Amino acid sequence: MKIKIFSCNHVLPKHEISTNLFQTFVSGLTPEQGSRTLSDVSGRNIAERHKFCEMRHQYYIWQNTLAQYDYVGFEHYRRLFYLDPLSLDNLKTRYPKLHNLRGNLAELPLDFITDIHEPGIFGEIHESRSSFNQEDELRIENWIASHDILYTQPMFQNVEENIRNFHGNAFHLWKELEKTLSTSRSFSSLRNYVNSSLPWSGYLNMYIMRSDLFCAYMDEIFPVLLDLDDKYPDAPSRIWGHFTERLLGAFLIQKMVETPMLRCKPIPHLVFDRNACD
Amino acid sequence: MTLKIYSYLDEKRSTLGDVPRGNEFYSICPPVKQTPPETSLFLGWEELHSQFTALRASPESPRYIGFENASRPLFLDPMKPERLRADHPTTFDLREKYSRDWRVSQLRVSAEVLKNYEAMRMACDDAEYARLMRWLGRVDAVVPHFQNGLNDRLRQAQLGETWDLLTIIIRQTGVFKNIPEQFFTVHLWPWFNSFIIRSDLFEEFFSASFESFLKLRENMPDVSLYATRFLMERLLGVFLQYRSYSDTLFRLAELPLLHLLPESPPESPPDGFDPKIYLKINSDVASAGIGAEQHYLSHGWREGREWA
Repeated sequence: MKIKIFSCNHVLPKHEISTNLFQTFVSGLTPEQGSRTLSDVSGRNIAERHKFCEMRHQYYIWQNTLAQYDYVGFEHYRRLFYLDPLSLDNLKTRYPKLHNLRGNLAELPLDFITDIHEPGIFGEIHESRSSFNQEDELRIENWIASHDILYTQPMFQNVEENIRNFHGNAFHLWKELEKTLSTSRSFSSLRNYVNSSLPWSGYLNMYIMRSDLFCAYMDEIFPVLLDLDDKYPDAPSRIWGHFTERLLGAFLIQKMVETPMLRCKPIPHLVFDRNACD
Repeated sequence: MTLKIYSYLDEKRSTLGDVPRGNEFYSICPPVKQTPPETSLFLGWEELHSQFTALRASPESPRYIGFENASRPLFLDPMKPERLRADHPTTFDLREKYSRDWRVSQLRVSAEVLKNYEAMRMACDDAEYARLMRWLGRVDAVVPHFQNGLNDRLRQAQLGETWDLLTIIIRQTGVFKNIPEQFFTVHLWPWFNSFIIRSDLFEEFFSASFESFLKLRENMPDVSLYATRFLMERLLGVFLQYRSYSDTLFRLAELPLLHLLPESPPESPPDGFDPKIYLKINSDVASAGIGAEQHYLSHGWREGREWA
């Protein structure tokens, strides 16, 4: 089982990681010689198309290296999946802040913690990830492989209302995107689930997926998004990244309906303040 | 054998007729009216009694064991979508509904939809059952989505001090000895005692639970059937939450239950309706001074109030 989780950055972060499971990935970076940080300046890339935000990283993996993996995952520089294979005793001894964090998550019903500003937690997570042994990594791999799609808890707000609230100046672009996708072949193979009445939004473009499912998702959305980017050069900044946060829900519905017993589940995630990532 | 799900057939489901036959995976459990002497302590615990009896009667131990109320079955639909839409359209609609809102813990259905779903379960072919087994092989436990017990008057009325007493007892028993106190105060748990779980986990959970329940009964001989049900479902929540805490890679899957609701007002209370029991179960109705039959016919049926 080959699984890689990419930590997507737009500048070189203080904490870098390159292990069997985790990989720092900086879009647009010209890497120094010997650097283990992944970049997208070679191969087929959209590093210059900044309106795609973290979707630039996903495009690169889809176009260049996806065949190497059974599962791929994407998280953001200050938003991390909560993946913790350590025993309670081990965690308490080695990473006391993470031990407290685990206790906090156990008491939360929503599976995420936002606005983490306490210093040191981010560093402990990177330190623990870097020191996972083979058994720890295998446990995480087995857990991931017992699912098909892992995603973050979304906001349960009507998509149309959400777009109007946060991206009102680009509402016409959303409608055009919706119209094009709603007539596309795979999104309409059973029924069409791309429409603005969907009850949730804001999936963060963070997920871990079986590679074939990830490929199907990319195949579907990228041709349409790239056409729109060419057609509307004055579209607001970061808009395509924001739109894709709302598209994942339609893809999930489609796949859950088409694929009986698909294993989908929200995965807990942690959102750090910018100054807490050092 | 990999899986056995025991469906407890309560009065609500029985009165609809067309009770599904069992098969290799599903076993229909009528309420246990007679009991061998060694299990007589559990008589009166209805579906919990059925669980105990089913376990005793099981000739071999399956890898996974499940329990559900036949009026509220777990929503498991391994059928291919094209066939599901053609042959079981109302179940296909349920799949769509759940895909759109995968947080819901209950899908409210009519008797007709429930029967369509039951027929789908029985009509699955080998490939579809194999799909179900593959899915199950990737989880440790399957429960309905957790719900907040604070939002339910019935549970609040029945738990309270009884829960506090059970907590004291069970924290000296089996696997629960290791669970910190804070896990017993969490108000989210999977309702209705419906679940599928790895058999070894089931043994671990139930051996401690049943032992504690017997001690509880010694201290509170008149503990009600409803309290017993709610205590048991809440205990399962404690057990699973601690599991997920001590091993964050514990594979817990959550599903909705189908929840049978009547579609039109009944003309009279159902057969077997006992006003005293209704008021005992629905203590808020009793304290409001409303007659049991009057309340059931005007509000209770619509709210899905328990009556037996």
